[in-house]
Formats: sequence, C-alpha cells, structure tokens
Amino acid sequence: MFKKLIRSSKTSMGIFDSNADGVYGLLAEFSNPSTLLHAAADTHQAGYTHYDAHSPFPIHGMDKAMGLGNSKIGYVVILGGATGLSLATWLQWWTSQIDYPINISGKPFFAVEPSIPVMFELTILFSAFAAVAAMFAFNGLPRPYNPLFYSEAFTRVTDDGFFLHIAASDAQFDQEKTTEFLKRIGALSVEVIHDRGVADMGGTPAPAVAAPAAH
Amino acid sequence: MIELPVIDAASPAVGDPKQHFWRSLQDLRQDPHFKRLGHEEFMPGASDAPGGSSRRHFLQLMGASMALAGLTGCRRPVELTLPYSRKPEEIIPGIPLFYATAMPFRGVLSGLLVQSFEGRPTKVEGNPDHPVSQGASGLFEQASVLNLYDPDRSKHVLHDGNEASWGDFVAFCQGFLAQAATRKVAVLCEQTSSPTLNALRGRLAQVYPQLRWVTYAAEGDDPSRMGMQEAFGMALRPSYRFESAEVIVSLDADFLSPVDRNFVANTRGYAASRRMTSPQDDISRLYVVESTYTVTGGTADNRLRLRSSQIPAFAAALAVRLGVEGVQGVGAEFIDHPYVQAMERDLLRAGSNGVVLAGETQPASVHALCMAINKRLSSIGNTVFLYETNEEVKPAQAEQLQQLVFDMSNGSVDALLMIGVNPVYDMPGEIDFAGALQRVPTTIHLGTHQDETAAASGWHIPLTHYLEAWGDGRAYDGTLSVIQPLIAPLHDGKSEIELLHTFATGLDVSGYDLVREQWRTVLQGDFEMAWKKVIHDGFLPNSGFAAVDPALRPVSGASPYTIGGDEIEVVFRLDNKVLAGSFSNNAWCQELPDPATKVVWDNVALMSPATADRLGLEVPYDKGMHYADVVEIAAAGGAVQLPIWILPGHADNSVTVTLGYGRQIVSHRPERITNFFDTDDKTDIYGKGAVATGVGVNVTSLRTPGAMRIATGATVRKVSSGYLVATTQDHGYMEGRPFYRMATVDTYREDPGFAADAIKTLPGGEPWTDYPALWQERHPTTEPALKDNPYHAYQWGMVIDLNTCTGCNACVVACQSENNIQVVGKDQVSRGRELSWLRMDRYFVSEAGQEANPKMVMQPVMCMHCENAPCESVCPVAATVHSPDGTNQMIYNRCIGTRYCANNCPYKVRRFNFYNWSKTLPLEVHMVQNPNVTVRSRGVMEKCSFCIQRVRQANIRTSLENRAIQDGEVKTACQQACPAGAIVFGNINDPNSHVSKARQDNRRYEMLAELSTKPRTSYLGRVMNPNPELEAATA
Amino acid sequence: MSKPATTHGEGLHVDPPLITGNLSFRDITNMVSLHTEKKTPLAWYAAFGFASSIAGLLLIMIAYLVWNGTGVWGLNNPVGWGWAIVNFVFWVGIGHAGTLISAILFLFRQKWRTSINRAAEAMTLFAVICALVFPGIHVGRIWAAYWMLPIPNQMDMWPQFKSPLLWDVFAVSSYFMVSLVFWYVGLIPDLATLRDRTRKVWRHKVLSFFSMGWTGANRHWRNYEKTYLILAALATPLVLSVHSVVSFDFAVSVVPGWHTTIFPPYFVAGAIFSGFAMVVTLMVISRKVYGIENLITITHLEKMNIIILVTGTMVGFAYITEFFIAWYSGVPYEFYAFLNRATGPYAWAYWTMMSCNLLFPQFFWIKKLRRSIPFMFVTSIIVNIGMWFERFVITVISLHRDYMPSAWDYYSPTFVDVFTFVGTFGLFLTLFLLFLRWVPMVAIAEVKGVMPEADPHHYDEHHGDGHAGHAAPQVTPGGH
Repeated sequence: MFKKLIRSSKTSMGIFDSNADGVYGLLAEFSNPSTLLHAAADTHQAGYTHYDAHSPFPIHGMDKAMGLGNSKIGYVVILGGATGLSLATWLQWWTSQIDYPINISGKPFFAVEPSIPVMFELTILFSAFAAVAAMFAFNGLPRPYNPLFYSEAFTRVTDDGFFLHIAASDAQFDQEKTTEFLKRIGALSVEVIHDRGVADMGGTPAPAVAAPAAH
Repeated sequence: MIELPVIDAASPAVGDPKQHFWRSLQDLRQDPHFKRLGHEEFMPGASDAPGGSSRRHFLQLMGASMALAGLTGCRRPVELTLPYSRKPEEIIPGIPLFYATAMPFRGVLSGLLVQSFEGRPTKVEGNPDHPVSQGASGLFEQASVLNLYDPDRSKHVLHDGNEASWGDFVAFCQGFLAQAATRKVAVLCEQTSSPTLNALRGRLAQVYPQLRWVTYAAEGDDPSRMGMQEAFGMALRPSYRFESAEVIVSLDADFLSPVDRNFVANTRGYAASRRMTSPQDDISRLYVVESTYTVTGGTADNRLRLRSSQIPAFAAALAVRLGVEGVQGVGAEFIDHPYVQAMERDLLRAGSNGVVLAGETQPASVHALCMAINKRLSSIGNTVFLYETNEEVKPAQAEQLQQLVFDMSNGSVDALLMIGVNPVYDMPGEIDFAGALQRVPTTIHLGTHQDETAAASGWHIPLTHYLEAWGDGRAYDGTLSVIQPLIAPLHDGKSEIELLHTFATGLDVSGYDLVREQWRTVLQGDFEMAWKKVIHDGFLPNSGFAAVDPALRPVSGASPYTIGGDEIEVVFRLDNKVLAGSFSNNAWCQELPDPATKVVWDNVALMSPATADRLGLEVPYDKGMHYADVVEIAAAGGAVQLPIWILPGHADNSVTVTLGYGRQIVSHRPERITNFFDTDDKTDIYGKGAVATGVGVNVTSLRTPGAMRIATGATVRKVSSGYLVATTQDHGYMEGRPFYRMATVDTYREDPGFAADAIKTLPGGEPWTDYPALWQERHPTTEPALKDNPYHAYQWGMVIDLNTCTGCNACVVACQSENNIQVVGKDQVSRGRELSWLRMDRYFVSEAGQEANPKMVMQPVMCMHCENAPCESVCPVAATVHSPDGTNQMIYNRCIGTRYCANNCPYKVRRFNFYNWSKTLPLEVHMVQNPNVTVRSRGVMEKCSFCIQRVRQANIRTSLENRAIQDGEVKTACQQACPAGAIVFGNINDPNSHVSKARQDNRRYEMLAELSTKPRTSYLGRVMNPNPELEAATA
Repeated sequence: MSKPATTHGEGLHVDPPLITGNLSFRDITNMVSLHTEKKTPLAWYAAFGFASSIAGLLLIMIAYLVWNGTGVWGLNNPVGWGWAIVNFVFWVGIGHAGTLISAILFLFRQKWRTSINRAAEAMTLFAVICALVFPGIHVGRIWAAYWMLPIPNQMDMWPQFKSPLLWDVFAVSSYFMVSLVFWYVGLIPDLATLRDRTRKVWRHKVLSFFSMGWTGANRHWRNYEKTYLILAALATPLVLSVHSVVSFDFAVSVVPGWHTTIFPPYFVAGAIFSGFAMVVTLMVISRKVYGIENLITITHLEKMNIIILVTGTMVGFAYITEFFIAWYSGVPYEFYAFLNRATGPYAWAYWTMMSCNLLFPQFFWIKKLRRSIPFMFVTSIIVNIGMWFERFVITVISLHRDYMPSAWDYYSPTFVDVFTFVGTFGLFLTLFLLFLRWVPMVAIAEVKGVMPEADPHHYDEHHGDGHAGHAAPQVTPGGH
C-alpha cells in the first residue's frame, strides 16, 4: 500500500524504476513539438502511464495530451502565505504588546496600521519560498542521477531535441512491442536506456555539439 | 613610535665634556618633547588605569576626600593618603557630597556649593544660603570647575625656565630676606578681597619698608569705584535693587551679563521687576544706551545704539534735563534727543524708583554723574545702595603702572612679585612691560599657567585653583567667606597667601593655618565652633558692608571725549566667555556661543552693517560657512589684525573688540600625531598644545594706559578676506514663524492669550486644539504596563518664562557641566556638529523700516519632551522611548545611530556624536565628568534628558525614605543655575506645583504645538514695556 | 507564460517578429551559450580589472568610515541623512526594472520581455546589493546594525516595528530574496543547456549541480511553469511595495517636503523610470558587444523607451502636484520647503532634476528618437542622473532648512561620500561582468518558447506532420 503511494508519487515526479534486466526504458526522439505532442497523446491513449515527454521548452497542450491534471503548487503557496502573515502578526504583537511593551510616541503598544508593511512583506516572502520549495519537491529535484543521461542524443533535449520516454516500469512495457509502437507514432529513432547504476551526475560530459546533430 | 626614555633622559647631555651616550636622535637633539618624557618616569598613561584617572591622581583624590572627611577638622597633608578600603564615614561611593566654598571673581567672592564624588569636584552650584548667590550662579562659576582639571596648568616650580622645587624657592626667599630692609620690592597683585591677603600685605610692608603694592586688573581701573571716589570722596560700592525699580536707565551698563561682578543679584532683582502673574501686574521699564548689542540691550524695552564715547555727553544731557545741580552747558548735542526727553519724564515720574547706572566702559565721571542723578531722584537707599567698603581711596591704576614700569626699567626695583596676574600679556601696548621686566633682578610669577609672564619671569610658582587651596574674601555685598578646598592640589601649586607668607617670612606655612590665624581676629566667641559654622555654611552671616548715604561732591559732567561724526571708536570689553583671559584655556568657554554673535573659538571686531558698508567690509556666507574679512585696526597704542563680524543693532562708527584671546600658553602635553587614515589628530581639541594658544588675537596693544576702555580716532583697513568664523547659528531671522512670542504690556492687557493665539487654527480654519489628539484611545500611559509603574505618579514638565530670561548662558554651561557634554572644536562647529543640549536661540526682530536697530531676543531651546515625540516612532531599535514619568529618554547603549530621530525632530535639539570625543580627552579632563551621566561614545545620538539622573536619585531617595518627592526637590541643572528663576521644572500631576501653576499662566504656549507633538516644555510669552511716546517718535 | 496559445494567430499578425534573422532553436542556443563557453576575451579582463578596482575603492572608503566614524561624511546637525541614503534610494530604484520586466510584463503576456528579462533580473539583484551596502554603513555604530533584525536575545530587546526604517529592512531584504529565487528558477533550464553542451569535467559538475538534473521533462515543466507564474504574481505587488515602503521613510516623518502622501506612487514611478533607463543603458552596450542584436531588437528598446516616457511623465506630474499642494495646503513650513527647493541655495540641484526628468524623456514622443540608439543611450544616462538628483533634492534640501531657522545649515559632501558612491558603480559593474561571462544573458528556453516554431499548431498549419524536421523551420515574418 505504502509502496504503491511512493511509486505513484515518484511517477508524478517522472522517477521510474528499471526492470529486472536493467532496462530503464525506451527513449524515442521526435522531430518537433508538434510530433512530440501527438506522440504523447497516442501514448496516453495506448494506456501507458509511466512515460514522459522531454523538450527544451514547455509545449502548449502537452499536459492535456499526457492526461496530467493541474499542478498542486498553488495550495502549498497559500499555506506558505498564511504562515508568513500569521508569523508577522504574532511577532509584532507579541514583541511590542506582550514581551516588552514600551511607550513609543504615545502610540498604542500594538496597532494594525503600522504593522501592515511587515505583514505584507513576510506574506510574500513565505509564499515565494513555499512555491519554489514545492516546485522542487513535486519535481523530485534536485535529481543528480537519471539513467536518461546515459543517452548521447538526450543531451540535445535542452537544445532542440524532442523526446518521449516510456519507462520499463510501466505495466504494459514490452521492449519489442513498445519499440514498434514508438516507431508507429513517428519516432525518428528509438534508444534503449540501460540503468548502469553509475552514480554520476548526468553521466559523462557530452561530445562536442558544434557538429550538426547526428542521428 | 616613541622610544621609551632612558632613566635619566632628562639630564642634559650638552655641556658634558666627556663623550656622552645617547639613546636616540631626539635625545641627542635635546628634543623638548623627548626631554619632557624624562620628567615623567613613564610614558603618559603608562602607569594609568585604562580610561580612568591615574593611580596617582586616584590616591591624591582619596587623600583629599580623607582630609575633607571631617571637613571641619584640620587639613591633613597629602602624604597621609589611605587606600579606600578604610573608607571615611561620610563617603558612600556614588553618593556625592556637597561642600560650601566660594570662588574669587574679579575681586569679589561668589558663594558656592560644590558637588564632590569620592573627593572629586565635578559640579558647581550657587550656595542657597549665601545672601548674594542664593543658589544661583553664572557661567563663570559653572565653568570654573573645568579650570581645575585644565591639563595645561602649570605643574612645576620653574627657576629661569628650569624645573625647580618649592624647597628651592623657600630657600631663595630666606636668602632674599637677608637684606630685606634695603630691598626695593614691588608687588603686582590681582584684585582681591581677601582679609588674610591684606593682612599679609601689611606684614610684607613691615619686612620690606620700601614695598610698593599695585593692584592690577587687565581691563583697567574699576570705573565704578573711581566714580564713587569722585562723587563721594571715598571708595564706595554701589549695589542696585532692581526689584524695586520702575524705570532703569543703563548707560552702556551690561549689568545682566555674567561679566558683571554682581551679575547674580542684578539678574535676580531685574527678573523680579519683570515677573508677571497676571496682565494687571506692572513691570519695570528698561532703557539701554549702548554701542554693542549686549544681553542687557537684548532685554531692554527701549534701546538706543550710540557710540560709547558719546554716552558721557548723553548722560550729561540727561543730568541737565533732570536738573542735577552743578551740571550746566554740557551734552548740548543730546539735550533734545527723544530718548533723553522720554527718560527725563519717566525718571521724574518714577522718582526714587528710578535708577540710572553706567557701565564699565564709561569713565569715572559718568559714574559720578549717574550717582548725582540717583541722588537727584533720591533713589539712593531705595534702588541704589552704597556700601562702605573701608578700602583706601586709591589713585588710578594707570599712573601707578607707568611709575612702576619706569622704575623697573631704570633698575630701581629689586624684586617684582606678580601674583595671579599676566601683565606681559595684557599690559597696554604703550607700556613695554616685558622689556622693563628684564631689568628687574628678581621676578617672581605666581600663575595658573606657564603663560607669557611665566616665560619672562625668573621664578614661576604654580598657582592653586580655588578648589585646591584655603583662602577667604568678601562677596560683592561684603559678606565674608572662607574658601574651602575640596581636593589636594593636583600639581605642586601654592596659593597667593602661601606664597606671600613665604616671601615675607621665609617659612613654609600652610594656607589653612594662615586663614585660621587671620580669622581668629574675625570670629568672636568660641573660635572652633564659629569656624566650623563658617566652613559649613560657606560664609559668615551679617558680615556684609554697611550702606551709607554720604554727601555728594559737585560733579561737572564734562565728557572726556570729543568725537567727530564718522570718527571710529574702538571699545574694549571683557569677553563674555573668557573675560580678560582667565578662562581662555577653558574649552567650555571657548565653545560657548557668544550671546549676541553666536561666534565660538574666536574674537571678532564687531561693527554695524552701515559701518561695514562704509568701510567696504563683508562677511560672506557660503555653503554654511562664514568667511569674514580681516581688518587692521590702528589706534594710539598700535595696530592689530582681526576678523570682523557684522552685528545688527551695533552703533555706527564703533568697533567692539574683546580681551582675552591670542594667548601663548606653554603646554607639556605631546602633540597628537596619528596615522594618515586616522582623524583623531584633526578632531582632538587638546591635541595641539594648550587650548587657548592660537585662538583669536590679543587686542591689548591697541590700548594705552589712558585709554583702556575706549580708543577714539581709530582707523580700520581691510587687509584680507576669507577668514573662517565658526558660529552655532547661521540664520538669525525667524522667517515670520511664531517661535518666540512677545507683546507690549498694552497688547497683553487687551489680549491676554496673545501667545497661544499666535497659532490659532490649522490651515482650513479648524482650531488645532479641537483636533482629535493623536492615539488618544489605547494610549500606553492608560495601560497597566505603564500605569502600574511607580514612576508614573510623577509627570515631569518645564516652563520657561521668556519675560525674565535674559540669555546669560548660565544654563548652557550648567548643562554642559552636568551632562558631560563634549567640546568639538572650531572646525566641527563650523560644520554644524556642536553637541550642546541646550542652545540659546538668538533672533533679530525688527519692524518695517527699523532694520537698522532690531530687537535681539533670546530663547533657550532644549528637548521639548513631546508626549507624541516624533523622534520615538521612527527609531528602528527603540533607542529613544518614553518613560513612565513622561520624559523622552535616549538609551545610548541601544542606539545604533541611524540619525532618523534627529531628522524627525521639529525642534532640532538632537545631537549626534560624529566622532568619539571622549576617547581623546586628557586624563585630567576625564575627572570633571559626572559619574551619574553616561559618557557618550561615537555614533550615538544624545539630547537633553530633563536631567533624568537627578530625577532618579530623587526617586531612589524618596522611596528609601518612603515619602513623595516634594515640589522643587528635583531641579534640572539649567534651572538650578538660572539667576533669573526663568526655568521652572516639576511634576505637572501635582496641581499645586510651581510648574503646574506656571502652566496656568495665560502667556503660556508651546513651540510648534500645531504639529500635535504635545511638548512637555512650555514657554511664557514675553511682555515688553516700551515707552509709547518713543515708539511713536522712532516709528 | 511562454505558451503563445492565447495570442497565436492574430497575435502574431500584429506584432513585428520578436526574434529576427531566421534563427533556429539551435542558433539561439549557440548564440547565447557561446559567450559563456568561448575563451575569455581580453576586453573582458580589461573591463573586469577596471570595474573591480573601483569596487576596491568602495572597500577602502568603508574601512576609513568604520575606523574613524560617521564624521568623515559631510553630515551635520540638521542634515542627518546625506549621500548614503540618496544612493540607497537611487540603487533600490534602479533595482526595480528587472523584477518589473520579469513579473509584470510576464503577467501582461508581453512576450518581448523574454529577450531582456534575464539581464534585467540580474541587474536588479546587483543594484539591490549595491543599495544594501548603504543602510549597513550609514548607521553610527555599524557593528550594531544587526539590532534591526528581530533576533531573540537575553535582554528581550526587539526592533521597533513602528519605524519605517524597519519596514525597509523587511521590504528590501524580502525583495532581494524573492528576486534571487525568481532569477534562479528561471535559470535552471538554461544551466541545463550549458551542462549538456560542455565537455569540461569540472564545468560539467558545477553546472549539473546548479541545474539540479533538469531534463526538460513535461511533468517538471508543468510544476515549473505554475511556480513561475506564481512567483511573477507575487513579485508584482512586491516590486510595487518596495519603493512605497522606501518612500515611507520620508512620508511618515514630520519634515516639510517629506511628509507627503503622494510619495508611494511617485517613488514607484520614479523607480521604474530609472530602472528602465538603466536597462536601456546596459542593453544598448551588451547587445552590441555580444552581437545579439537579433535577440534584443530595436523593437525591444523602443518598447522600453515608451515605458521611460510614460513613467517620466508621471514623475514630472508628481513634481508639479507636490508643488501645487504645498501652496494649496496653506502650511507655511511646507510651502517654504518647496520654495526653498526652487530658489534656495540648492536650486541648481532642483533644476538639474527638473530638466533631466521632466524635459529630456519627452523627446521620446518622436518615433525617430525613440528608435535611435545614440539618443536613447544618452537620454537613459541623463535620466539616471536626474533621478539621483531627485533623491538628493528630497533628502537633503528638505532637511537643511526645516522648522527652526536657528538650526538651519548647509550640507556638502566630502571625498568619502563621493568615492563611496563611485565605488558602488564599480561593485555593480563587477557583478554584471561576472554575470555576462558565466551565465546565459538571455533566457534561452523562454525565447525558444515564444518563437512561432514552438507552437505545435505552427506545424499543423504549415508542414502537415511537421516532418520538415528539426532543422530550423522557416520563420515567416509578419506571421502567416
């Protein structure tokens, strides 16, 4: 049960397990955002769940194509903001009214008016930190080790490469069938990713990229 | 960077036949600074406790406190110092003791009560029981305590410039006594009223039959005394009772200035005649005729600016109009002057309640004339009292001096004693005293400093400060006092009487014994009992002079001066801050703003705008700095160059200069030299030799023995420009802002609320008083956190009565002394960084068309202790907060120095420590500081605290005695000093307290109250009583 | 939102192309990454040496100040705040453009921002760093400045939360931290780009560390974009609040000329005004030096000039309003304060401010001048001079003559004031040069995102299944 929970949350982060014979998954390259988008949609229809699309920039409509709902970041941010607001309020009230009340210019020990700026700033600050922290958490970042980095071609994912990755841990995963499937939906090339388990951040440095993309 | 001296580094290596060894180049070169190191076994400070005073000083002080423990008991010699572990029973560390004593001031004594912490005198107050001071004091009394700790005081007996010992001098005196009968001895002595000294004078005359005694005052004869001699044929001393005066006519008499010998009594009396509790009260009317703008002129109802050399004629005209017999055909040019006519009418109306007095600048004849007028008004015995001083009628000082110098230079003086005087510095230009001095075989100088005269004398003996040695004397009214020391001499100094006695007898007897011996003849009954009482009280009751009313001699009223229309006169006055030089090495006085000009650290030639225009002179104001033209003033005596200052209301064609500057005092302190990245050498005012050395110009060479006060026919010529003059107030006009509120008596009677009404409404017509008070609900003082605080019962407030305040500066110095306010020096003042907590704002007010003779008004401004203090809410660290007893407090050790509070203070009373001023103070000066007040360090804000330390002491005392603080039990330093009683401080929660009553006065107003700051300090608007006829005439 | 969805089609018709010169995704990657990868040019070393030595001057001045005390500045009794505060406000103001460009323009879907937001954000950070120098050193006891923070201590002493200075501490530090994370979040995909391009082991390790193993996975983009949107939404009110709070330092006081309710909007407008001017100054130089005129086109600059024109006019309007209200209020102190600005001993400063801020930007009404590189360069510098003087006028002139004529004085700076200010420019340049050398100065991913080819429908409409391949598709200027 708990394992399943872990698994699903990891999946949502795009972290998959390799199967028994060390295969992490299949990495297919596509020509452009459009083909990738359609491929992702097809994969989704085909019932795959453990897969992800990789692109140098976010592609509009991909979430829908992959059948992913809305991001949950917002709720965390609200929590963070509430924390900041209440902390600021408490800090100003407790220090000036309870812990050490001093007569300052004959003004009330604590009043809302002069406290607003600090309340506001801390609300923003905590919200922002909450947002970023949540983003890292939901994305499982930082993720030093990722078998995809073993792929030579994959280095172009941050340049102009568009990839679809189906993980071996997917229920329907079958190396041959899935390869076929990928070819069918228009992959330019399909590469088997082995989980070599070399704990090296992002694999070895890429070869010179100055040369035109080779595949 | 300086090598440690070899043990005998001092012993001169020159003239040593054999090869000598030297440790360093300074040693070889006989570098004076290096030689000085030889005197002291260790580097300065090497044997001292860090920061505090040295171990040796500490023991001396302990010795003193031991000696004074009984106070009444005999004064033990210093050798018997004891560690503090055996504590004298009176002394509780931290609790000050107060001792009654008296300060010699221009030949009279002012009775004092001096505060002492563990044997360390720190603060001077007036003696409340003393008939003259009655608890008040002037700025010189307040500042005198710093003279005690003056780091440049002479520390060694010198013989021909080399260090000698007192023993050497005693031996010398014994040798000198051998042929006493044939010795021609002359004594040049400062003015003194000491019976002991006079007795010793007689004794000296017996020993030296050919003794010649000359009393010498730098400023010249006391014209008042000479005038009395002229008028009555005897040395009487006039004392004025202004409290019963209706009309006062002052002819160049600055009787409200602390320079006046009877300043405290004058101010008290005058204030009494001006105090109003209701519009119906009558107040006196003060006419002032003067050349420069003085404090007295500022308080005048009608002021006429007139060259001092014309005032005798003016006085004569007045005398003629009043029909003083024997005065005819003089003062023709003023006989129809509107002021003369107005004065005549007013004086005749006032009768015996009128009084006319002349000032120090006026010749004796004018003083005599004034007495004749007072006689005519029969005000003698009512507003004027003549004291019988029983002093001999003495000839003019000038004649004696000329004779003495003549004899000196032709070698017919064997020995000259100069006691407490500095003739080489302040002798008028015509007399070559220094030259004559060289012709005298034996010259002995007793002085506080190694000054000009010390350098020219064979023997120099350090003179003790009055807080160091026993002495006695008479107050202005003749009341006898014993001067009781609070501390053993810090340096091996001797008092006048000790020196004279040794010179007369060759014996070394302590001043204590001499004074007691003298007083045995004074006190009746059981001597020890009476003596103890005198010491304890500080004076001998009912020992004052008798008042007499002798017959008047005929007076002519002829003026000694004939002055052309635009002929320029130069008037020499004692400086408002340093007198004739006796206070010029006192940093407090140097940095005290002159009442009229606000100039510090300089003496300037004052002249009127018109005269400056005529002479093509100016004082341009550029980027916050005043750059004055420098002129050469030439008169009979000689010529000097000094910067000018343009003073509105000054008489045309008259130039006022002050004595006491341009001193040359030898200091043995090392010059402060710091690395290029360290500014201490620039900011340390004690770092470049003596404080007074190089400040201002000595103007005495302009004078001649005949013209000590006024020199006519002077020429003024511009020689250069761009001399930086530092002032504490750049802007003299009020810009029509109602800070200082005044009205005439008539206006006051029509509109008693004139002061409050000056700001009636907020823009928009809404009365600001109806405005909802800020933060009224949930006000902190209504919350338990503060309400339950014991301090909350007292709510402190202050009221300053501008009617009686004259702006004499006593409060300013008192505040400086009480609150350890540091001195920052000319450069920093010119940058606007002075630290004074209490500033005396001086504004010129003039009706349209009267710009040439504006009114000069004075307003003391310190922290207003606003209940809604703007400074508090902007401090990010709560370093300035409100106390439960309603004062605005500054927490120095919490302050981080954002200076936001100063920006947000509408009254600009907050002062910032831009540098660490206390860091560079000499050890001696550390000892003057009040242990109950934090010495502020660099980077913190400071300001008036309502003397919270005094309030807290009272809180503690009363809570121990389990009683409430009575009204008047707590006095702020400024209030305590004020001779006019213009400052009232107290608990405004108590409806019967003086301050609460003063706040009921309908003249009350608060500055900038429309900002809703709710100041705890209020002012009472000033009411003036000008002569309506004159107003009509001049307008 | 780098998704062009909402504005595709018509949007592209009206807008001139944001990126000119038929660039492919790869061209953009190369164009930007190149400068962080190529051998450091000598010119950079020269510039860096110059900048860092001026920054050294700042350190020397601070040391001198700390050793001797605040007295080494020109301050005096009425004028408790001088150049230090002026410079603080000046730098904070400059620090506004970056976040504004990033956040507000982002929310307003201004796609042109993508070419400049990275550099602008960096500029913000560095400007705020320069600003933060001053509150630290302007206090009298620098070693105690941390008492402004609410740090629990045995004395139970807390900061005084009613003080605008304390609001400042919170506002500016929050602003700095939020801007920092905003900047860093935006950097992650680009750092990944550099990571994947490098062959140097250590460079690779460092970049891998900072890019956190980013793979451009859509599951990540999903959260990433949401976060970016939220940050933008948070930063927008923040950026507006910061200068409002800074203006409270003055507006909350009682000093005539400070106590003015118009200050918050007026300060914010001024901040944007000066901030954009500074961006223009820097962009005009760097786009030339780094040959990225195609990414930062004249159109980008023109849009910024329009903002300068608008905000400049707002500021000028504020000046006039202030003056009118000072007269209309009938408060003599208030009116004198403003009269003194225009006619007093500091009139020269006032008129410098007026001409620089009110007059010069008005030339941007003319399209030719708006698009003229030399003119906008000069104007942008003039504007920043004017804005510095605005702060000088407000701070110093109001203080040197307030209520009590007896306390009036004059303030003039010392060499320490001057060199400290000059030094901060050194610090700013040093940091900016480091940025240009080591960090992608343009947001690669975002720029790609706003290119037409980034829109899937782009291919549906034009190239059928889009098998034209990833070799750069034709960009058709003016859309389709």
